[in-house]
Amino acid sequence: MSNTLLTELKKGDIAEIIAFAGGVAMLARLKAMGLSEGKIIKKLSDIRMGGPVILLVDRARIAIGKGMANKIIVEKQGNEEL
Amino acid sequence: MKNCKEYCAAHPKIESDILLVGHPNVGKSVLFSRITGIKTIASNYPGSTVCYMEGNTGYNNENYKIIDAPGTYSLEPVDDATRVTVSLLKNSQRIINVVDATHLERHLPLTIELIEQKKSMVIALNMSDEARHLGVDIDVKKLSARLGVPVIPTVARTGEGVKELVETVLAQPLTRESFSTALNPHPHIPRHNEYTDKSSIPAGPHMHLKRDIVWKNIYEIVESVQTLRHRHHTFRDMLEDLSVQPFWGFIVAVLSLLASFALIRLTGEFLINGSVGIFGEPWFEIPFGIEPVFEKILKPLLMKLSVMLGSGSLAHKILIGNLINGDIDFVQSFGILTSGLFIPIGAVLPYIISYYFVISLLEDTGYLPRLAVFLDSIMHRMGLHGYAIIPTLLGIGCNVPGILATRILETKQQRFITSTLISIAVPCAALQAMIIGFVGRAGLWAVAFIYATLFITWFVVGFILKYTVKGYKPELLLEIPPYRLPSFSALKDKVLGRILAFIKEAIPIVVLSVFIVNVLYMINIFDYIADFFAPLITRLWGMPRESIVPMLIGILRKDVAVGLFAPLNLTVKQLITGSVVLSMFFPCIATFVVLIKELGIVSAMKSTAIMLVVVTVVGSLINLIL
Ligand SMILES: Nc1nc2c(ncn2[C@@H]2O[C@H](COP(=O)(O)OP(=O)(O)OP(=O)(O)O)[C@@H](O)[C@H]2O)c(=O)[nH]1
Ligand SMILES: [Mg+2]
Repeated sequence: MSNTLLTELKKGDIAEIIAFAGGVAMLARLKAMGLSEGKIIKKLSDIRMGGPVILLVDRARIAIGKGMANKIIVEKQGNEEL
Repeated sequence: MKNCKEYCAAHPKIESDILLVGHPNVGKSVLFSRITGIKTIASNYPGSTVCYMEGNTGYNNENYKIIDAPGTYSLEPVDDATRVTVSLLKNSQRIINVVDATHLERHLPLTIELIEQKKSMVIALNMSDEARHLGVDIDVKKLSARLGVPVIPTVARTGEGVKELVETVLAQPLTRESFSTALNPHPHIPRHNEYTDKSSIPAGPHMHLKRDIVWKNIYEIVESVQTLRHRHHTFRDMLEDLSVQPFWGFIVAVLSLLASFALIRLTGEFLINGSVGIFGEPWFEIPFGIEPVFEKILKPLLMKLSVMLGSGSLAHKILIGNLINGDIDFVQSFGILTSGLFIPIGAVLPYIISYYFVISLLEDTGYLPRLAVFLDSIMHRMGLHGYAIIPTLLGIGCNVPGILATRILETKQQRFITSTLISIAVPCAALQAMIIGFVGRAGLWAVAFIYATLFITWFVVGFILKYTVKGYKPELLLEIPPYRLPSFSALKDKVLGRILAFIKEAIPIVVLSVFIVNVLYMINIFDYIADFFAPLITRLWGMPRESIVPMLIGILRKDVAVGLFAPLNLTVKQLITGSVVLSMFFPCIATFVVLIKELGIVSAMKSTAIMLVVVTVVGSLINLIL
């Protein structure tokens, strides 16, 4: 399957984090939060209208601002309805 | 609160015997309270401790200093709170690493960073009750063997395991040169001791590789010690998902905010005069309240004192103040025993109680981070992100803790914007109580107008600051905690602690302000000052020149200042202008001091300059429009 952005995923989509397109500071924050390449995430929600994306990572819910979510490249692996 | 100090230095050099370190929201502060007996502020959102707390615990007739540090996800300093923790870590002898038993894998990267510090260390596997409830079983012995560090399951809320934790950490030898190689189960993967040595260097491509290896090890460890029992989707899970979905979450946000306002108003009015009702005619009333105590019990006593002192005497002037139509008026008389007691206790305290009750409830359930998610896109227009709502809401209680709480924001720029907005457009609970109680008599619409003006100012100033304050403004990145049922005793302690702090800090200053007002009136100094400010106050704002007195006293206490409006016979329009100007014009002295401490003198001056421009413009606009 091809790579997309976190913001492009639909609710319930499961994906693997492939890469980050952001700067050093953004990367440090994401890694500290346990978001690194190879991690499997599930998209729980997207507030839209400039609002954040909410993910499930290692069973924890994490909200990520829209601009940052736009810089996270993922590979979709499936969809699990909520 | 004995043996307790809260420090807010940016780079503390303080030494400690035991340091509590862990992710935000794992229960460090509750654990600290359990160990030391000191009441701390613990809330169900990441970042409730932004400063650090120091306390003591006795063991085997020895006294040990223990510090509760701000939560941190890693030892790479990405924000001010982490910087504080890293400094504290350097000067501590032993570490208690607090981890969340329900999400072990998320916490082990920090644990490993800590192990590599080679300090005496014990792991507190906290939230064991929730782990049991969620069907997460952890083989503690095996985990301890794998990490080479003792692991003690704890439930900070009930105190389970806390005694054993303290005993274990103190029984550890101080230096730990060698440690288990269990972290590296695959001999062909080299261990990376440089990992933490270079932790101050931002992650480069080289670092990623090491991090990935760390993650592989962590998953391997967790898999070998943890079993997850399958469980069904519960009601709580459903609620948790619902409140972050665009449509339902929005409904929940609006409802919770409305319910909060209603609850604050209901409780506040009930405490004041025993009436139950939100606006307009109360639904019912019972003979109860703080106001009747003042009117029926205190007033007759004070009237007797008034006669004894004689209404012309100096003592009468200072203690009782002016009689209004031959009677004491608790708002207008302005003596130390009349207004000086009534303003803080009769008018403000009930709203302080109700506000802190509601905000503490919101803090403890875990709703605030969800609210932050919904306000994120609005806050973006102001150069902030959603989490800035937490300091802002805390600022509604008192601007001082609000401005301190801006430490949960990542950069100086965001802290500057948020603090400036709080000091200009967020009136503290004391001021609001007086506005509701006093201006409210002129009509509900007047109060609504004041709030609307402040809200619009908050937004517009934020919008302008976004484009004028240059610099990195990172986006929202937030771990949303699970909903938790507030523990009654913790809630009670927290609300009580905050109320006592108000009483201790506010009442002396109120009494002092009332005293100063009387002295200044007697020596007639206000005339000169009034002349100086007259163009601004009378021409631009349309206020009588005497209103300079409340404006200046507002620097000491805003609530007292509103009381000083009472004898001026202001029109509704002037009351509105006066209240808005008072909210914005010079933060009270306490707020000003933290502003300088937190932002530095240069930024605090910039913030003050912005305030002066804003208050001049907004005051004039209201005068034009109304
Ligand atoms: N069920 C349960 N809840 C706990 C336990 N320990 C703490 N809590 C709750 O978890 C939340 C966070 O506790 P805090 O003590 O504020 O966490 P902290 O680690 O100090 O958080 P920061 O100050 O943000 O770093 C609060 O709502 C506590 O009531 C526990 O053992 N079991
Ligand atoms: Mg804490």
